[in-house]
Amino acid sequence: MSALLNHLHEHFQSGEALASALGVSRTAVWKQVAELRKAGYPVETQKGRGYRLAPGSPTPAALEALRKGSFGAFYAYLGTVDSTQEVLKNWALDGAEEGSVVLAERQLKGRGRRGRAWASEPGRSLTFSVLLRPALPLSALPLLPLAAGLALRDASGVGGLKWPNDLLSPDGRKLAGVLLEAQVSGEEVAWVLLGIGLNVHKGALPEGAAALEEFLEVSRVRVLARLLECLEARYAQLADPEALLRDYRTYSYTLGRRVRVTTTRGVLEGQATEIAPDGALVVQSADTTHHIGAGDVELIGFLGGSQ
Amino acid sequence: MNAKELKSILQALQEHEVAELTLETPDYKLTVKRGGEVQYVAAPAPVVIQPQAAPTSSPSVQTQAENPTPAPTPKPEAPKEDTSRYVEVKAPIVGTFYRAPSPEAEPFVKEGDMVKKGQVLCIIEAMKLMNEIESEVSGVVRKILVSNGEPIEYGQVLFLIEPA
Repeated sequence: MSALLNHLHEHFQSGEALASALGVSRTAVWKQVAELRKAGYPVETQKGRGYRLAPGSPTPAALEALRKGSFGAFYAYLGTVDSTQEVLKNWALDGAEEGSVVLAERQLKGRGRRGRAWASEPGRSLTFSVLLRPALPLSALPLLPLAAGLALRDASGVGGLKWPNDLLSPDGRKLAGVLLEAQVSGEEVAWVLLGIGLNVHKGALPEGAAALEEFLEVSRVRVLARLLECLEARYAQLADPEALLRDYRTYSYTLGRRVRVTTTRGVLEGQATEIAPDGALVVQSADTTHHIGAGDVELIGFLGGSQ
Repeated sequence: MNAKELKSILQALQEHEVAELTLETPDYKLTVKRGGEVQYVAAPAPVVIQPQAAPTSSPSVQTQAENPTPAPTPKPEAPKEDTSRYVEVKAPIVGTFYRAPSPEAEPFVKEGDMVKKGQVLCIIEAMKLMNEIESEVSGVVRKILVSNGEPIEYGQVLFLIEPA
């Protein structure tokens, strides 16, 4: 990582000042700026004023000033990576502790469920992964994905959840998605990689996507700090599944709606009636009650289609 | 075959860490298995494991698209394949079974593959939590008992692994 990154913040600094702070020439500063931009860091230039990072950039210093809990105490702000899940997995193998966070401005192989691509735009979204090391056995973790979705809703303060954990805007467009990957040996969970992609600023959003700034005034680092705090709180709430499910139902955009669910067994349509205690979605079709543990849910008559 | 040939075969087995070798000629059939055991096997007997509780909404687990070989009738002299040494890998959670990280990707393991302890065997998805299931032993994957995309129950046997 460039030494310059540690010196940049949201106020402009002249190239000269940066050069003397780093003990290098102005040309060297200029070269490092070009490198940072290429990697995806939102470095801005204004004639006569110098350089700055786009306001709200989630630098370690900015996050540290806002951080409330232990999630994010160990934090890396990266430019371009294959995927933050991959980086964090290597950290996990090296023994990184719970709550470690990797955020990247650009992912070359960002992915969602079943290897689907997840696009993120440098400077506009929050794409990061959080390391969890649950002390509970895997069978006690069925609500973890719902807890992650709920934390997204808590932190954003807008929209609702499409089962299990997509955050949708009030008009049904996708604001954020979650990908959870666990490493399991026997009944033991070695770690869980909790990946989140959240659209904060409008850019070239794909069809059916929305950005948080359409609904609220936001800064990326504030959203990140709040989200880490909410994740930690909802993660702790796994010990009280009833309260978690009660809150989850409150913010569900899925319950009470007609849904189309695509599973590996085919497509079914019906009324989403309940969230089972194990987190599964209960769908009532003409003659059958379906208990959905995995599948793509489409809310019929709502813009936000399948993920 | 003379003693010298046999010796070189055994040596080669050891050097290449081959667990088992069957050699068939018009005159004789020899099966050598490392680890003290020598077995004579005509054809691998099929291992049929019936899950205790088949999920209500799914067809029987026996119909496996990936394993269409009809079960051969064991010859009278053939002792049954020793499955007692095999380690069962069971589902730690209810979910959907995937053999590969994504629909286009190669499966994590195939029958006959050597796996190391800690190697990922499959993914079980539950509520979009992708659980990568590791092998708890090093050995050879002898049987994959579930097909891709199938719903599975807690405790259902997914793989049989012969420990190395």
